[in-house]
Amino acid sequence: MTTGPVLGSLLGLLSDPLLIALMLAAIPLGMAFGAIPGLGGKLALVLAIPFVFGMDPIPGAVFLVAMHGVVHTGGAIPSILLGIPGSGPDAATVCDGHPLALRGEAGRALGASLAASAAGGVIGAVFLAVLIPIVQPVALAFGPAEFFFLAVLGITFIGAVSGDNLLKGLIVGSLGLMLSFVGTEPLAGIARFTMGVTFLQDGVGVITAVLAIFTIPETIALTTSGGGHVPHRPGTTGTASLLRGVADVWTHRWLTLRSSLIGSGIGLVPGLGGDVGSWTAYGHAVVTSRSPERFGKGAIEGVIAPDAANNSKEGGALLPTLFFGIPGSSGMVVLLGAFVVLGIQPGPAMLRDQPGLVWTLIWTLVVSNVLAALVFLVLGRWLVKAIQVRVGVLVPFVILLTLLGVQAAGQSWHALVVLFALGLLGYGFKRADWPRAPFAIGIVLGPLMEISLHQSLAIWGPSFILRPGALVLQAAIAATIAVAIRRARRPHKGSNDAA
Amino acid sequence: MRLEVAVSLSVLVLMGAMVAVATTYPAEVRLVPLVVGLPATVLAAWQTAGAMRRAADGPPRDAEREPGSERRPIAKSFAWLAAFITLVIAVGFVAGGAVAVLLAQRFWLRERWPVAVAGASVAFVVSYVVFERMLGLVLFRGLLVEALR
Repeated sequence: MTTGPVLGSLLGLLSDPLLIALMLAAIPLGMAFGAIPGLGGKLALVLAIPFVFGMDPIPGAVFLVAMHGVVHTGGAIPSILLGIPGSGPDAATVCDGHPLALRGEAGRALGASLAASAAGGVIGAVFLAVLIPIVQPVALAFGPAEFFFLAVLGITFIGAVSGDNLLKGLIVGSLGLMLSFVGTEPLAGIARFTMGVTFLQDGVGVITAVLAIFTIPETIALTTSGGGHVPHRPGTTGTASLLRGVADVWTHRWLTLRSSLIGSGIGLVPGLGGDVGSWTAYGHAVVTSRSPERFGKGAIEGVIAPDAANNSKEGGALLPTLFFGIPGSSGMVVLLGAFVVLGIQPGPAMLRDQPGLVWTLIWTLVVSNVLAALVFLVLGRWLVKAIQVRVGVLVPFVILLTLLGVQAAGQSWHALVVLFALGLLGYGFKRADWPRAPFAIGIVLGPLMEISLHQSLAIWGPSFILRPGALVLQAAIAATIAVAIRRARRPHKGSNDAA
Repeated sequence: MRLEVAVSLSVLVLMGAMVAVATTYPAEVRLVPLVVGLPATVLAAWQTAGAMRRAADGPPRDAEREPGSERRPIAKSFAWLAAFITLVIAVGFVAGGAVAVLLAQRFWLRERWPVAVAGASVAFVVSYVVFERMLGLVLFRGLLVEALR
């Protein structure tokens, strides 16, 4: 591969005022769609298609990729400040990002989020560039058997994120799995656990469940604590606090790199979804931490890992989308359609026939993530001030945004009733000190695990466990369990508060 | 301790009910729910038994009491949350959301009238202007509105 199209594309991108202007317009739009609960990158792309129709291919593609690439950078904002995930993949950030904000370190959490998102986006773009020569065998190596064991690997992280409450974590994780089975069974088409309620045939939505288990309890706790304001510490909300969070990403640079590679790898595989990437990275951070008991209470690594994975996933997902015409995620489905509208024909010949366009899109991911971090750094201190209002002013809007998030995620009004019921359960978990992250892992990975198992049995029978990719993943599962057992047998260190 | 027992028992009942229902499904449909649910029900029963034993042995404790802080009743907060959701379901996000914010800020969280009215206005802008007009999302109009059509 020559360096001509590689460097030429970068120079072309940075020297074209139109492309720069399009990226600067796309970045706040993408972040805004990510920040408003329930909207997300997919809707942003859908609404942007009419605007790019008629544009030349490169400007249109740059606008769309720049917008979509920074959605999760914006999604971390409400996750940290309000405990409301912008979308499903942002839910993992809530686990430690919101506790950091509640103990007065919102600036630090936002700083870590923006730096991790930027790093993840850049690493995802590099991942995309490096894998171009070997993309086909890698992307096509994953099938239902590998999907199944990948889901099981994610589920083994339930033990890791349960901390000292392993029994409770397993129960909560299993409850999440069971609730993921509510709805129409995907293979036989039979309604399960719907109690004859038509609405439940579509299942309990991930957004509804996550908002109920995380956001509702935190909101109720704010109103019952008796305090007038969301806690904050003087001196922790300015630029210095944001930069401290940025420094945290450098301190945990190897975790950032590993999480980014996890996100990119998962993005590379069509059909896995962004939720898998962020939770897998979060679980990996817990398993590899020397003091895992800090997670769920405001460990900065709990913000860094999922946010790096969320943004790096876009680079990985772009790979099968561009070179096979196989969308790497649901957002890529829309992006693929938009590319066709622009006259771009994804496929194996793209690198041979349009190397300039390919490298321009890769550099767009890099530049847009860096620019988004700068935008975030400038706006960050004002975003932090947004939560320093009285609880009485803040809480009703948090509730309204939560309800709007459920509606915007495509759920009917019945989902609001489910939200309340699960919110009661979630508050009980919080008050009784039951871990809640395992629930999210269960409800996210349950459908993938079940469908993959049935498909694997149908295609290969029980021998699916002997596929090479499956064996590698089984080894990873065994290693994760071994680490968890060894950690459980080790004498406990004192709780090491991240602050 | 009572809370621990209540949560454990709730999860046990829910899990047990789902396992019981799963046994009525055809084999391929009930496989994975039973593989997950049966061990989980056993674990939940073990957890519930342990919680009951600890409750019988020790004094009640509240995991999150902050000594010296004024506390609003939890039941009142959930009642207001239920009322908020009911209002939105009844008259929709645009009208119901604005009214719910007004009532919640004024009568639940004791903000002054100007703050509550301003809050309701912002809620209207967010729901109608941002979500419906700018983003083109059609928000739920409310059961009462739909019944009147």
